[in-house]
Amino acid sequence: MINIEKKIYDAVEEIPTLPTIYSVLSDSLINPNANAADVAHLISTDQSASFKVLKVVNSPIYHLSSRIESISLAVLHLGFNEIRNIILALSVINLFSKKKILSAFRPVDFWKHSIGTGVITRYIGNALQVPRPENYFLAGIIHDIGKLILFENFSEQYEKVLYYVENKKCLIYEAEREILGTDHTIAGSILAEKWKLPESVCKVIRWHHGHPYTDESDVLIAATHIGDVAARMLEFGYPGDDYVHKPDPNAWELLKLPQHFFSKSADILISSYEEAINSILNCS
Amino acid sequence: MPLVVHIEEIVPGMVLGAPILNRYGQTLLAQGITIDEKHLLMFKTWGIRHISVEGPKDKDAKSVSINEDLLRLARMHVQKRMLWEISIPIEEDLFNTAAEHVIDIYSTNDLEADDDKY
Repeated sequence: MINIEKKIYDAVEEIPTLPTIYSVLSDSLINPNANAADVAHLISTDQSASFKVLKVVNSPIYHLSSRIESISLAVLHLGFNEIRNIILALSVINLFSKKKILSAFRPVDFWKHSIGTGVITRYIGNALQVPRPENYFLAGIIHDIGKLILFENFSEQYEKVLYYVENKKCLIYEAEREILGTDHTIAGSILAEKWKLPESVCKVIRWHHGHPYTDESDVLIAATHIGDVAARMLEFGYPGDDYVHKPDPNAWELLKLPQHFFSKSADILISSYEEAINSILNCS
Repeated sequence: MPLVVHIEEIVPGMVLGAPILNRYGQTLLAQGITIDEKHLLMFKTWGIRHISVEGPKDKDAKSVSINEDLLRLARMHVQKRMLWEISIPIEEDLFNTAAEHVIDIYSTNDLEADDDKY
């Protein structure tokens, strides 16, 4: 086990650091003299990024009252952090989208599941009126990032993981533990640490498959855990197995979502998901 | 009895069986309104996928309602992927929402083929 974790560390070393635009944005957020116009200008220099950002912010999960046509308006309505995080999510997808394809697991389906989880998690954040909703979309999108590290670097063994899933009809993280002696939550954490992602997002990557979910600071993890369950139930993409794990009772307890939350938000969730995969992955 | 009908299956002349509300509970369209082309466009703009209708006015529309059998197949399709039992109302709500979505994304043939396997 120690051996494989050492190998994961080595593999993560090879993964590029986050794109410049993200670090420049992060710096400008710390800079007290930066204003919305500066940030908007910075983002606008990357046309394909700004196009996608506008598509995402105009999807119904952000329920903005009018259509946003410019990055500076998007920053004004949703704040620097939310826009920066959307850009980060898009960059990560971009970084990993041209990677290896394993027999039963295509990156595009992986990202559909991740984007679906991001949409639902963000919408849960809205519904709970959490004080810092900007990490919800990002957390959902990158919660499973460890799977990509594993299947990219241990592809032969990962084929066995997928075969095990098929045979035993189990969840992929159980198969990863069985075959690799580690799982994607650990691999993902190693990358999250290297990228210095916000601490709350690092925790989501590490704990979305099991956590006490009792503390107020666990709301983001619980929301992602439920977002993952719901994305699987609604068959948003393919996370590597065809099953739905049991939602943790403590997560429900912590979130206290209304009884008809899913039936009432189904239309919004489904259309936001479809719009998001269309604009981000250029597919449906 | 009101029937749940998918947007693509709504035909002008159907009567709304339940009001359409926005997220604040305000009525956008009242129960009893006869649906025309203009309403169809509104549903699309609002992103509405299903509505409740009073029962089809013309006989051609009869075949378009979601029938019990299809719903049963959809429920089975969702259930066989779940590694757990439903125990609280919100799980039931998620389950029903998923079953309805399954009807949208799979053909009846797919669901029937699914059924044969079990």
